[in-house]
Amino acid sequence: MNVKKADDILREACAELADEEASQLEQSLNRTAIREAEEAYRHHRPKALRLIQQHMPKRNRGRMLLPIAAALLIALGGALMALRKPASDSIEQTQLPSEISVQPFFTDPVLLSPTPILSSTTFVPSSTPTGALIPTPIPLITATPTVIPTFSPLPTITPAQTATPAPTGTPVPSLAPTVPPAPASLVPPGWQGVHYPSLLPPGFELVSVTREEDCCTAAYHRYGQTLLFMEYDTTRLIEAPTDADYAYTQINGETALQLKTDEGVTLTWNQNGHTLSLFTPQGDGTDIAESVKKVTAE
Amino acid sequence: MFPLVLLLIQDEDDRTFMEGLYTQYHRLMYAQALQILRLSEAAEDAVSESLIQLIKKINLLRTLPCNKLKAYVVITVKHTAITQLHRRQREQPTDDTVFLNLADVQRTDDHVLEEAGITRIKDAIRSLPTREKDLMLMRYFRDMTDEEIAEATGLKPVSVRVHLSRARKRLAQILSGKGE
Repeated sequence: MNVKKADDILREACAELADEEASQLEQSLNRTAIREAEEAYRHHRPKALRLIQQHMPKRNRGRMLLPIAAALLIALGGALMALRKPASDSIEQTQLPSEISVQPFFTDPVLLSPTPILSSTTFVPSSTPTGALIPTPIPLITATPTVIPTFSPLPTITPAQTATPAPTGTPVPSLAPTVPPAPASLVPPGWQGVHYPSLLPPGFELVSVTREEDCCTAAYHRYGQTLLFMEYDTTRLIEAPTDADYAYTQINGETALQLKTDEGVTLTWNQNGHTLSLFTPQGDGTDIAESVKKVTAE
Repeated sequence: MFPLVLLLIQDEDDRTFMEGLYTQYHRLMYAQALQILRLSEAAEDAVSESLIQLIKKINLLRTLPCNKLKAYVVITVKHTAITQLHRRQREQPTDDTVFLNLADVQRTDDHVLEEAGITRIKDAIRSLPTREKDLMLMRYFRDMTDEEIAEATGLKPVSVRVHLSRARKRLAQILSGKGE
C-alpha cells in the first residue's frame, strides 16, 4: 500500500474539483450578483486592507542577525583592505542597457496575468446588447502599485451613442511630461500590443507587461500611484455608465469616453481597429493618450 | 545593509502579494460568501476570516499557479462561509469520537484509489456528503492540518481524523462498486 501515492491522487482530484467549483461560480455570476459583490467589496475594502496589514506574518528577523553581522564584518574587512591597496587608475564603468529592459516587479505568475475585473463601482447600462461590455474606472490602485487592476472587456463606441464630444468642467491641467517622445525601439520586451504610448509623465516607471486572453496591459508606477495602458486585440462597444461622471473627448481624431473618479481618469477609445484604454491618477490623460502610436506592423 | 533591506522587501512583498490577491479575486470572494450567507455584513465577515486564513498559507499560495490560486481562494471563502452559516443557524457539528475505533484510522483501501482514474475519484468525491467532501477539500486541496480543520469547522482534531478516514473508506467503497 502506497499511502503517499494515494494522497497524491486525492490531492490531484480535489484540486480539479476545486478548480471546477471556482469556474462554475465564475460562470454563474449574473449582473445582480456582480453588483452586490462589488458593493460589498467597496464597503469592506478599507477594513480588509487594514486586516491584511495587521495579520501579515513578520519574518523571523532573529535568524537573519548572524548573516547580517557576517555581511557587515566582510564589508568592513573589504573596506579596510581596499584602504591599504594602492589607488588604481582604472574606473569601473557601469554599462547602461541600450534599450529599456523591463523585469516584472513580481515573478509570481498570478500577478503578472491578472484576470479582468470590474472596479468597485459596477455600472449597468439600461440597454446592453449581448456581449456588450462596460468600461469602468479603476479605483483599485492601492498604496502598493504593483497591484494591477483591469477592466472587464469593453464594447466599441457606436456613433449613435456618442454625445457632443466636449470635456466637462474646468479643464484639468494636463501633465507636462519631460520625457521626449520615445521611438518604437523603447517598447518593452514582451509587449504584444500594436500600440504603445510614447509619452509618459515624469517619474513613472514600467513595472509589468502582461497579456490576458485578448488584452495587453502595461503598468507603470510612481510613488504609490499606478498608471495603466491597455490594448484589446479588436474594437469593442464602449458604453457610458449611467451614473458615472463621464464625458466625451477626441483622441487622435477618435471619440473617446472619459470617466472620472476620485482615483483618476480613464480614457477609452478605438484606434486602428483596437480598443485602447488608459488610466492615469492625475491630469486628464489626453497627452498620454494622444501619444499612443502604432509601433508594430499588424 | 543588504540583508536588512531584503527583510523589509520580503515583508512588503508579502503584503503586496496579499493585497494583489484580494484585489484580483475580490469579486469571486464576495460573490461566493453572499451566495451562502445572503447578508452583506456576514459575507464581509466571511471574507475577513478567509483573508486571515489565506495569510497563514501565504507560502503555499505563492507556489500555486493562477488557476489553482483562484480555486484555493474561492474554496477557502466557501468553507469559511459555510462554517459561519452553521454558527448563525446554531448547528453544532456532531462529535462522534465516541465511535472511534482502529478501523476508522487504518488505511486499507488506498490501492482502490490508485487503480481508479482521476475522473472516477472526482465523481466519487462529489457524491460524498457535503461535510465529508468539504473535509477532503480542506485536507487534500487546502493542505490544512487536522488542527487547522478542527479550528475552521468547530470539530475536535480527532473527529476530523475520523471523518476523513470514513470519507476515504466511503470513497473506496464507491470506487469498488460496493457503496453505490
